[in-house]
Amino acid sequence: MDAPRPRSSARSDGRTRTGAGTVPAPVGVRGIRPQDETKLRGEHRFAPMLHTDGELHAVTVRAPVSRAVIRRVENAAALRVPGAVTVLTGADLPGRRLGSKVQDQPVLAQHEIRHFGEPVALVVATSARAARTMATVLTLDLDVLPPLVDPSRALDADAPQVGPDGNLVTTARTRRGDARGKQVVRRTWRTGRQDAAFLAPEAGLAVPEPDGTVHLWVATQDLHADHLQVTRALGLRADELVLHHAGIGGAFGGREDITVQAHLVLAALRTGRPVRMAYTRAESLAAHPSRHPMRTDVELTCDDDGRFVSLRTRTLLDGGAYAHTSLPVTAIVHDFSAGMYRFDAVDLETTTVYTNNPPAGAMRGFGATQACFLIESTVDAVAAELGIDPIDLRRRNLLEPEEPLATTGQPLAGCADPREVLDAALSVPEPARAPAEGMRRGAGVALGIKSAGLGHGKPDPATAAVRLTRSGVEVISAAADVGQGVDEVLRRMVGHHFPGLPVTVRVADTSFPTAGGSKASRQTMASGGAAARAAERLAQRLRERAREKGRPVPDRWSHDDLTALLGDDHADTWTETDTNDGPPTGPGRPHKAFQIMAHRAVVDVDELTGECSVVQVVCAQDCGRAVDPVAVEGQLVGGTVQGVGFALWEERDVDAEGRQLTTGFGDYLLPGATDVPEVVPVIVEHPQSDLAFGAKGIGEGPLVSSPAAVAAAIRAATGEPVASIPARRVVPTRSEVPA
Amino acid sequence: MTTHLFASTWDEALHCAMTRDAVVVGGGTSVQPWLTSTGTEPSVLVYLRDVPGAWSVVPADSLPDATAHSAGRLRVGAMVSVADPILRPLFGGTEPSWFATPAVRRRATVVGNVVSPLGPRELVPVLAACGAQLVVMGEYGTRMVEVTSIPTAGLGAGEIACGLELCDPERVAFRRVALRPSVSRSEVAVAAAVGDGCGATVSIGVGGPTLRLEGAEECLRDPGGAEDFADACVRSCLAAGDVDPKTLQLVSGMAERVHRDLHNPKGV
Repeated sequence: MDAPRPRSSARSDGRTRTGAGTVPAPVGVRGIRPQDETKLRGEHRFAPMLHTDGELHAVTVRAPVSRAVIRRVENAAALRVPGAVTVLTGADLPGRRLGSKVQDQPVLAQHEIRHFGEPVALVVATSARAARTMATVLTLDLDVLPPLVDPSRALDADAPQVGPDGNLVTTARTRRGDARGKQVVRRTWRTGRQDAAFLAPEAGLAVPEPDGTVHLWVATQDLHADHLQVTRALGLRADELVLHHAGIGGAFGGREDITVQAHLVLAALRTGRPVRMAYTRAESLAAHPSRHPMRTDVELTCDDDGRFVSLRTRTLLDGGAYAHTSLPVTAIVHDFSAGMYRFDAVDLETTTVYTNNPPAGAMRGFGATQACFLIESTVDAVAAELGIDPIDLRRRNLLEPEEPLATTGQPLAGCADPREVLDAALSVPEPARAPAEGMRRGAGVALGIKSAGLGHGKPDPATAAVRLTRSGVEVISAAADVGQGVDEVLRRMVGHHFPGLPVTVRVADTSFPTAGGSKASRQTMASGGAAARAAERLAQRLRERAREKGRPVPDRWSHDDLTALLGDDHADTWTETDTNDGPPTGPGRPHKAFQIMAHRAVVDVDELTGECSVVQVVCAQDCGRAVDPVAVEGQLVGGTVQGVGFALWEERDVDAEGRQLTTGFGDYLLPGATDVPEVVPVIVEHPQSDLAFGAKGIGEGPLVSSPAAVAAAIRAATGEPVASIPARRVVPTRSEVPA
Repeated sequence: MTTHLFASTWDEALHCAMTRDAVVVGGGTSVQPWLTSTGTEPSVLVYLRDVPGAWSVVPADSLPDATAHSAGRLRVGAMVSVADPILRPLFGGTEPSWFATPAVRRRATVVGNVVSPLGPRELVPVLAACGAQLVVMGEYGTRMVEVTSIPTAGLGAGEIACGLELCDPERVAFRRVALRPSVSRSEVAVAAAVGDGCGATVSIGVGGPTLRLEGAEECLRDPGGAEDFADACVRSCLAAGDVDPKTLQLVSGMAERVHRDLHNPKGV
């Protein structure tokens, strides 16, 4: 159906196209992404720019404490604000819950508050200013309770209960063999609460229609997953809600869970008018989940010559107040805790608990980043204790191709030999410029592994349609281009089958089948695979038509060819649709594909102040096949910089009462332009035979091993343990203390 | 409803500022985000941009309100930005790249930074080393306030900062430690200036007080006085209260670097 179009929409309502009128570059060839021109010109319309006539404005009222009983929401003062329309609370939606994996999160808190910043009420007004005023004067009558903020206490018998059935979210265990080596190294490692920190805060616009449906424009990673959650939570039929993509300004996992979606639809239904929301930066930082903070106790045993024998881990993840994606994150941390190393015996336990801290969830790397820091830091510790070069130690213990991973038993197949990736990273010369006076230089390496695709036997379908008309080729997909460039991947993969023809991506809404989420580094494989197969069939039909009409099949198609072959009717279109859910996964093969990568970081540390300056980072990654090499390099550079930020600065600070202190980019320290070192991307291509063009997802890899490499470089420079990231400022290395 | 008043004289600005809950706007880099993020609607916003002289840096003794104390000093107008080229000698001949972003430096005012209750006063250590004083107007007339003594809550009701007076130093050196080289708040800072009325300062802790060292002029001028200067900085910190040994170590080392920079200037 046609909905009223927002005044400022971008890549939104199923009629928006990207790459229109242009012939895509061939697969594997460097070229520009024509759809990025609007971003370069500053003309891209991001979701916070959405408006429509007659819109109302909604603002979320959030919990000021991390644990409390809600006695009463006093809304009289708010409703007296000029322009006030309504106040919605949990009482309007008794028992309704959100959650992509576990439905444990109320749309609006009712009876209890489980974390600081939890949505408690929604105020709606005729202007944004009036809505903000309403939010300010609305009062919450709370019985504040002592919060559970220490995850190590979560499973104690006397700990406050946060979760619905105790504080255990999940535990994964793997135990195999009982061998032990002579040398024993034990360490404790911690990682922090990194935020997705995308640049365009959450925003959306919900428009109710006379027929009772609501159309929602929102910046999200997965339209259909949002649709399912919102309809389920609000008790709507599937056909009563249509979701459309709005311009997305970054995601990194932070748009995988629900924020504005259910509130907007609820407000639109209750008021019968279009409702708009746009978070402030402070609200954004409080609204979406962070990376799971981790503490892990590790014991690695080996022979005197450094051959690894056993690995024992006891890993605890702080899931915060709601489950969000804690179940699959736990699985990823667990699956990759042994890295790509050979062990005779493993005893691994990975646990996620509920606390009253801000919820944790999806974040680029999805647990593999924490696992990499765990194992690679431990390997460095072993090297230091045994006096073995850390790179040599890695070479001695890395799996050979086709050898099973120590955790899942899945063969390391479909990817490059990890030694090849390591060598690629080491092949880049270190910076020629010597460190400045008073600076100590160190270099560190880390090897990382993560899956691409959902895996573990979960359905992972993506549907794409390819349509041929006399004006060219159109790809129809609901895949979210969050900036990673899936639109260009679709254009190139489809364009490969129609050389010479322009290819346009038409962005679908939820009336078209799902593409799955832009998450788990999956869209190149999933939607790309579906589009490539549909294009292949369509191209075959075109060739057959040419032969039927006695025309030669050209090397490059032209509009004249299409005019001749598609018939005289201008509206004549051919369409092929494909749904791709492969390769299959299950107990023997839990993961579709592996992203494997290596980073080498060079860091200068001020020996007096402990300030760290990253000089150079090399990121080598097996991409299968680089469909769009410039975009791949952009991913490797961007993810690496995000890893530098995590290693050094990025953390959402939470106080002893579970209150988040971080409110903006003044205190959430992203690497700025002047902080970004030389980053050298090195593409390794080892095509995976059961994926279209051999191309695998690569988006998360650069953020898997970069933090561990930076930490290793700081250790090399200072001798400090760097047991926790973000390291921020390492302690000064001078020994003398003035009298 | 907020009234926006663009004062054309200091008297007019002062009169407007006496309005209950009036907020004075210089560069606006702190005020505007505060208004936006909190939804605060003061009854009056008083803008200083049209006040004659607000954009100037002139010899203080050339002004009508000059005092005997003004001789040899500079008057920095209330609208002079952090990036103003005339102030570069204070920052080693360049813009203070550690301060915010270039866009903010072009708008943020020096006076606003030392008087605003909204953000950390990152310039105070350098300015105080140059003997800076804030020129404050009120119903009572004009008074001078040391930049290290301005209350964290800002000036009193009905007061307005119309400028800053400071010495014209021969040399200035400044070092700071922060999590990140730029756009990150100072954890520890040491500043030193050589010249009549100049001295040295130490600041500890994000948003912490700036301590002015007494009697440091001699060791600052002495090329071999680095250790004495470092000791003076440490003593100053200890006199102010409990400071952990690691921080003292940091202050000592930074003081040595500042002293070195002072005698081998290569930019702050």
